[in-house]
Amino acid sequence: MKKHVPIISLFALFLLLGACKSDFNYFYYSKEETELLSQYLNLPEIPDDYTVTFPAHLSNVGLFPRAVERDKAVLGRVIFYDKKLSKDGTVSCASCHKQALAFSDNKVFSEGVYDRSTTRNSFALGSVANFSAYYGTDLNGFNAIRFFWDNRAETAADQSRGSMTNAQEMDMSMQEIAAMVESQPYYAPLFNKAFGSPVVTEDLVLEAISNFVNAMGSFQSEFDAEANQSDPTPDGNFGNTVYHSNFSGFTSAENRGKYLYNANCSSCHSGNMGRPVLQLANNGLESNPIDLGVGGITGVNSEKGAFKVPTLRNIALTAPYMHDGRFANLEEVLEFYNSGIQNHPYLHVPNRIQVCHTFL
Amino acid sequence: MRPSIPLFAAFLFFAIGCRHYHYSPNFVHTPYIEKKGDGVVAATFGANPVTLNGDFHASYSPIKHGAVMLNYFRTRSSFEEPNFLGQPVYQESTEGYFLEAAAGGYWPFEFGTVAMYVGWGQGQMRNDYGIARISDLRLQRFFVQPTLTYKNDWFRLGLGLRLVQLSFPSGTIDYRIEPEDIEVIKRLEKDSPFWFPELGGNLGLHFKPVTISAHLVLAALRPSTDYGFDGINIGLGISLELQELFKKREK
Ligand code: HEC
Ligand code: HEC
Repeated sequence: MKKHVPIISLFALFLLLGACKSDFNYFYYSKEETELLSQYLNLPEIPDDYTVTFPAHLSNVGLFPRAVERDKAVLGRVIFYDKKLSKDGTVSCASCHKQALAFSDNKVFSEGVYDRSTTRNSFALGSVANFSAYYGTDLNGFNAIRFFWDNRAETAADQSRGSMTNAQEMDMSMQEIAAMVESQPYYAPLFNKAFGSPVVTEDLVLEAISNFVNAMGSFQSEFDAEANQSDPTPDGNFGNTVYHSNFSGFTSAENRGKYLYNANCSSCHSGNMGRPVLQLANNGLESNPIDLGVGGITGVNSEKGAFKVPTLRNIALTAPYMHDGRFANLEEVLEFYNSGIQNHPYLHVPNRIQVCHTFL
Repeated sequence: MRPSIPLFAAFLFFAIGCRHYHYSPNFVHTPYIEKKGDGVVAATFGANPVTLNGDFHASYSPIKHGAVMLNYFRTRSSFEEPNFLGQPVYQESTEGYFLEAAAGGYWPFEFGTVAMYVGWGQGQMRNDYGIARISDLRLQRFFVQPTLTYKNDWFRLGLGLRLVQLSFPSGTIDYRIEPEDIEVIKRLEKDSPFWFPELGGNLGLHFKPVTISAHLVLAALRPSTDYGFDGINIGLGISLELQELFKKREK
């Protein structure tokens, strides 16, 4: 018996030592918070990290996403999807900005509360590389890109206030929004996390949704992967570069498309799919525009009929196209740029530009 | 001069290292026990560039050539950090304890003893990252410790090499702590258990039955990877040799 003792004790030691792998439990919300939140929402146990890191080809030209506060973005996301925050309880931001469609809508005009119709085509939020990197005068100064097709909102907060209070969209007053948020039990823990207190104010609601919007964007396309490995040619505009040489991962048809895009489109839409080169332009949709676009807000003659220049990321997902959704597909867009450009005293494009579909 | 350079380097490393800790070494105890019935109790107060700690030790020899020991260790550090808004400061801290038991054999020779102890212990390291964000790790340690002691009427000198297997069986971590801190903990979780030697020594002046001694322990950690381990502890302690105390009383 005695001679087994060392063997048995060695074996026991082995068992003990084997039992020393770690198994940690990470939590984000307390037990009580989790219980409350899970009754109403389906949030991940550990919320997503909303930190945005741009691909090198964009950070190399001085474009940097701003820091996003995770708890505010999480709260902002819940607000983004909350239909209770509309007059008839049927519309949320996500009703017109659908994730599967790069946060756009597949209708010419979107439906707001009481089936009212918006007057413009929903903007594809996923067409932008990242809002915080070049949108919003609060984050990016006077030269920042403004929000909406007519650039009427200076900041993400102004933009959200606009959507929430617009009679065709959610049709609430900001007081009603704050009161509704206050009355929903799941917002208390989220406000606690985001602002250290469950007290709801209009400004805090806007700050939260701004953090979420500012974290949005799209920057992991095949184009980005190729651009990261290629030498750009600066074109003199802040944040913009053009990739003249062929991308090795592109087919020859795609490279031909890129060539035509660089030649005809990148001077407005940007050659690196980052910050648009022009903040607004008249691309010749109408010689006599009814919707005056930017000019309708500023009253400036040369801006009447000019609209924001959108970036074209995820463009295949975001039909229909243009501020009024007039083109049902990209073929129509290209047909327009090829042969449909209308004359206008303040036109920014040559009357006829040659385009090729394969790149977009 | 030479030998102090690594020590200085170690100091510098731990002084500039992160200030949250998931491990901090207690002192390596070298019981001055020579025969059945001998016993020691000791208390040591330690500090390193960032923590303050208390270390309590008791050992006793119930049989010839055999001894047991019990060690308890508490460590704490706290500091103030500006919050994420840049202003009002909040308090951050590290707090931990460790309780362990060991048994071993000792063999006296002319001036002292050689001994070998085998021990097991458990503890907890709790970091408060401010605004109620906590990480709380349970730790477990096995060790084998060859020990050499020397004593005469006036001096006590002990050296111990503690060969450690340290593991972190469980932990609860608030994911809202800084991403760098999460990274340290994830790395620790992935790489646990850890094997490393700790070299400890103490030098004491003896005034029957009391010894006043200086303690030093250095953990041979790889400084290249950050696990939030503290690798050095320096202390001043007082100990009582029970056999002398009772002999005195008997007189
Ligand atoms: C009823 C549909 C609808 C709802 C609801 C709605 N939007 Fe929109 N959104 C639009 C339309 C249409 C536009 C373009 C309007 C314009 O430019 O005049 C737009 C534009 C935007 C833009 C501008 C993007 C840019 O690059 O200029 C942002 C950002 C945005 N919406 C975010 C939101 C948020 C956040 C909410 C919720 C608070 C919201 N939207 C609710 C339809 C909607
Ligand atoms: C003079 C600047 C300019 C040039 C050059 C230009 N565009 Fe545009 N583009 C615009 C403006 C401005 C709009 C928005 C117009 C509107 O909706 O009223 C736009 C809109 C678009 C849209 C619709 C985006 C959406 O989300 O609805 C597409 C697609 C597009 N352009 C593709 C192209 C292509 C392809 C070329 C090159 C053949 C090109 N553009 C050249 C200014 C330009």
